[in-house]
Amino acid sequence: KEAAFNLSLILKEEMKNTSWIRKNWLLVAGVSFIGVHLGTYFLQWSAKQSVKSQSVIKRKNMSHLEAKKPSLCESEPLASERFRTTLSVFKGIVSSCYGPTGRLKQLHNGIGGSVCTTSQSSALLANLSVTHPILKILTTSLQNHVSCFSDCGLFTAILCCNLIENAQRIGLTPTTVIKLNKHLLSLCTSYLSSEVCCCRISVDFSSTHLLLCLVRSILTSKPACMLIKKEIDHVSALILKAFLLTIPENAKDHIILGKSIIIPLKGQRVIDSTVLPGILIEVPDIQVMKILPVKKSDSLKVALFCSSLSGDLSDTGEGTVLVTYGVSLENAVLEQLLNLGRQLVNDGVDLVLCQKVIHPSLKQFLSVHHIIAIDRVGVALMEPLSKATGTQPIGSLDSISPNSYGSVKDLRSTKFGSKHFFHLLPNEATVCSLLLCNRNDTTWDELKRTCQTALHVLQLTIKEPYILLGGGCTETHLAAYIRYKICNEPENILKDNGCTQVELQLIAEAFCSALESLARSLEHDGGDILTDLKYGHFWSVQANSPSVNWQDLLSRCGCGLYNSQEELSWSFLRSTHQAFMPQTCLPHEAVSSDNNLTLDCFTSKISGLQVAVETANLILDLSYVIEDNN
Amino acid sequence: MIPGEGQGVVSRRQHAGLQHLASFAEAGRTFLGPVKSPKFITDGQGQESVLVTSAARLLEGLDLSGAAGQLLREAVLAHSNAYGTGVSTLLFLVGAWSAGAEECLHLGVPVPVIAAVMEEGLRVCTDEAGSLQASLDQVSTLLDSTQTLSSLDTHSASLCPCVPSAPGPAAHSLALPRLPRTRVQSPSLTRWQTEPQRSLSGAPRGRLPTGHRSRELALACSRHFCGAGGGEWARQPQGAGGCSAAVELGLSHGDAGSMRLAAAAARLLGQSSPAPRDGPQACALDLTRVVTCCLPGLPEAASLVCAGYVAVVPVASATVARDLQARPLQVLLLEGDLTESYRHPGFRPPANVSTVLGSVWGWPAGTEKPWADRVLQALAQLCVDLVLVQGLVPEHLAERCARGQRLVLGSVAGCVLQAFAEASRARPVAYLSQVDGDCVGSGVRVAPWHSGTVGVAAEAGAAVTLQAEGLRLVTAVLTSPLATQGQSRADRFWACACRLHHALREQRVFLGGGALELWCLRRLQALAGQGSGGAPTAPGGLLGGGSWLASSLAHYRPAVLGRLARGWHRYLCVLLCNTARCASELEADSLVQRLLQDAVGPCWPPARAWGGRSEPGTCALGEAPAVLDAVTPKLEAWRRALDLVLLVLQTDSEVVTGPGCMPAGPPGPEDPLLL
Repeated sequence: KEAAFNLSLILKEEMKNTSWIRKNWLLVAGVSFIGVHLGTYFLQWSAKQSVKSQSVIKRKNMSHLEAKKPSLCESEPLASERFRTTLSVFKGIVSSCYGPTGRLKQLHNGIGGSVCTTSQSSALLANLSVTHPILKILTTSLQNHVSCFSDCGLFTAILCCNLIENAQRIGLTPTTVIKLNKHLLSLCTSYLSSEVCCCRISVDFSSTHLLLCLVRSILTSKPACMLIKKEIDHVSALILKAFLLTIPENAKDHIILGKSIIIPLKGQRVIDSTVLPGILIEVPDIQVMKILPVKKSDSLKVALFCSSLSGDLSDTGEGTVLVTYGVSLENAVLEQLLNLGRQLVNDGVDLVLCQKVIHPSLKQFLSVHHIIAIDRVGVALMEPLSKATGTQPIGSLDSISPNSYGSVKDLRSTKFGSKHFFHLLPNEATVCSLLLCNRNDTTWDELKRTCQTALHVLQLTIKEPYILLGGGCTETHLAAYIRYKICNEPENILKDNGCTQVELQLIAEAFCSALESLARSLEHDGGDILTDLKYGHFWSVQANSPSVNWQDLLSRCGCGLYNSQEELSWSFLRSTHQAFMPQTCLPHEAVSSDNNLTLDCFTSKISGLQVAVETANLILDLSYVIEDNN
Repeated sequence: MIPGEGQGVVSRRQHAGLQHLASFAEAGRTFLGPVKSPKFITDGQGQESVLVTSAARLLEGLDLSGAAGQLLREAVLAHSNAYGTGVSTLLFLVGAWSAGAEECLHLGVPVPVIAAVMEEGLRVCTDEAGSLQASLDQVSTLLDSTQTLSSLDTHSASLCPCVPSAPGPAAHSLALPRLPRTRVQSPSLTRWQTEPQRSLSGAPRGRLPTGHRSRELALACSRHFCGAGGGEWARQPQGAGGCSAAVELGLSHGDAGSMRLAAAAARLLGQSSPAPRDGPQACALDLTRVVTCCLPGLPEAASLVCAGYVAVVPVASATVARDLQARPLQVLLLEGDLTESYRHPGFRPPANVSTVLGSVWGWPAGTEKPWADRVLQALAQLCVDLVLVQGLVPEHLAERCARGQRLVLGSVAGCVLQAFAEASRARPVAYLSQVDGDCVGSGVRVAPWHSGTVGVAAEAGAAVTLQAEGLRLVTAVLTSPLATQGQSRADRFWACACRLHHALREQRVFLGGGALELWCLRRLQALAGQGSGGAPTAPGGLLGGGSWLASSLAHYRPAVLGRLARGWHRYLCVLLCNTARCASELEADSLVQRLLQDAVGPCWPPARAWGGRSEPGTCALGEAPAVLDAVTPKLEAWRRALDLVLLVLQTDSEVVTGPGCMPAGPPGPEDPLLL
């Protein structure tokens, strides 16, 4: 009954409505007419918009709509003028830096920031902000190479640019070029890794001679360090010493190398640099005085904190913390710190190291209890400290588990220049501190990068105990070898790759001339480059010299292994000459006695070669660049 | 690319950087040599101006925004921080050698050859300059045997190297007007200087066994040390942290007044050093134990050195100092500010904590005393009379302390705190709340400071002096008539102190006054003449043995070495002009030429350089009585100058990163290249 009543009510209402519509039908018709029109208008408008753009971006403010920009598509990007100029500018920059007489670059922000004077790829690549997409591929792959191998960055960059330019010049299809480039690369690497290769020297670790030459070559090739010969000898000896100190004494099956920490001492003479086993921590002078004489025992118990002990409140999050008047949060935290101090005292700790700041009250408390506290150690020292002392870095103020403590053998305080240091001597030292001096900031930074490279190169050399001849000789020798192989034994390659003899000749010539022009990049002052027809080494001569009596004009080849008094014949590197098989035997007496050899890291160079060819192949393979501009 | 984001590669002509260096260096030309012409640096509107008298201060005032200028500033700062002296030499040689390097470029010499040859030339000079070094002992003997006391006095008064070798009235007429010729006698002076000697009554005078000759030397070291009786020079045993007076005068470079202060500081420190150590370090002047206190308004001659710490305090505190004079004081050392809001460095105050006033748990609001009251109470409990604060002290707090007969000194240097910590066994703390009985030191005495008969009563306040037994600290009180001069007065003092410090530390000095540079000129000429046989051991230096550049070195060597020598030549000329010995650079040039020709023979005895010829009417450089120079700072200044020039020389392009690299305007041929 009730339902029926409801129904009738609704009906009644409807009838009322209908009657209203009937009454005002004119108005209704008008409104619906306008509505329909408005609707179609909006439909059309939105359709137009969606045709124009692919989607509509919603901003925070709903009323703001922005159309997406269309993507830019560029076909045949390598052929564009823009790419060619950009690549040649980039090549100009890197090749002008190459080698010991390379020119330096001043990197600065133009508004009075510090100036970085460098000729190293790592600093250069980190500071160049490249916008061209293809160049970005190149710089990214170079940066990856440099971060893994430290050395041979410029080598890779120049070779890659040369390969791209040469491949564009011959105008064959990218597929053929890429296929053959790969084959030539494998020819190179297999030759360099083979026993017959005569620009590869295997390292005898019983003498430091070759390693010193290697380090010296690296230092010499970075003129922005501003070192004279005496200083180069000193620093190379230090680097080698620092490296040897990181090798554990009891070597088992696999060695885990330690770490050399580079400690800055700017403003001093380079000759004042030194190496110490253990870890040096710089401390302000006023703190040195406060340190009590260390009590003599076999070892000191160490606690290492990575959290701040400055009495900060830990992050209180968003919102406001209300504190009643009279309650001091700082005092509460300090009380917690002092509790921590008491625990350290109870545990018999002798030395507290903290990455960040220690509260002065806690420091005072510790010093009263004859605990040495050193704060502001810095994040860079944390890992070596933790390893050398065998501590677990402590990150909380709560109770400390006893196995996070470590120990050191001794602690001394020393002074170098005007700076005071604590010298931490660990029990089993595979960590050392290289105290590096140079006269001003710019040259110090460059020297530091160079030392890091040299240390890394030594590590790579111990992994793969080979060294390559430097000074451009490996490149010219390799080019001569490939020319000879292509000339005399092309059958295998032709069979494998299915290309014609002419294509192979063209591409091999492009590859070899890329290597040779890389070697020519070592010359920045207009000299000419020759190659001898016996060893295929690199010789430099003044421009426009009369081409008689090369013997008297030349002195030594680029790496310093051969001198011109041997019965040799020479030819310009650019000129075409009869392909010859470079002699494949190394004069071992000369290698082991000569002190002025220019050498290169084997691992870095092989990897550089591979990266250069593969990156060039990747770039040559590009046929479209689609840039999303949003 | 988007403007303002990428970078431009600005290719410049190769020597733009060198030109910048040369033009910057030109500004410092007048600071070379003993007679320095001060410069005013004014800002654009002429509102403010600074008086500069040293190359380092000049560079602080210049706008060196370019890359070369930036490197120059860096080099000068690094040298100045490391050695404190030789900056004007550095600056001048940067200019001279960058001009020389540019000339070489115009001649078509390859850049690596310029670098290698210049480096080789400087290396030969510095390596062989050892023959012009003399140990302090030798120099003292030589000078003492050739000079009488009266001539010492003469030379001290006229140190510019233009004194005819025969002492006479003419010498006096050449005296520099700046040097005070009256001796300041003051009872208070005598008192302060004799006190440390009294306190060390057990120690025999001159007990430092420093390897000096033990014979008594007639010292005219400092007018401040003259006996109370009259104008006689005091006769002191040598060794108490000093060197002979002649050496000091030689090192003073025309600023005998400052050098006397520095020497007095060295001597005082030597006396107060707790335990004499052997070796050359023992008699070095420890510069971290020397502080300066500038007092404007007094004549320059009133400057002196006294043991202990002198500071200017407000008048109220000075009165307290007078009252506290009688007894030894308890001292507290604070490393931070003495303010309520001070927190140690590294502490981050939480941003979002607010205190609720009112008494939720029955804490009556406002019962806690104000912070200042608590400070006073703490000081009273610990019976502290003197607080030395490294940071700031609010004025009202200092006044309240003064009312309670406590002396609070703010802005005290860290080395002063350290010295007092050692002497009084106080332990520096960061907060007052940390203080317990162990931190408070004792035995410090305070007194008002007087300069002669004139009491120092400036508007700002008065000077007080703090003393303690065994305190290894001396203060050089530097007075100047004008407040503007204060800075340069301090700079001059520090220059002398640094020179003395290095001479004492190394126990070796160079014959200065141009003798060294003249010798280098001579050496370079010989080297250039030798041609290819110059350096047979290291062909090409850093150039690889195989490079054609190495074999072409011989061809270019004379030209490049000539340019390097030209730098020193110009140095000598400017030195002569600045000291008014020659009216024009042309005259100076011919004088240097003549000197070079006169000194014949491959092995030019350096002694001749200052033994000298004494024709009347001519003034040879060699006649300079005994201008001496510190060894390492000088050689380092040369090396740094050449390093900078070669660094800029070998740079061929600038890479500008970040904003500011996009020049407005239409593209032109000089526009940066973009990647």
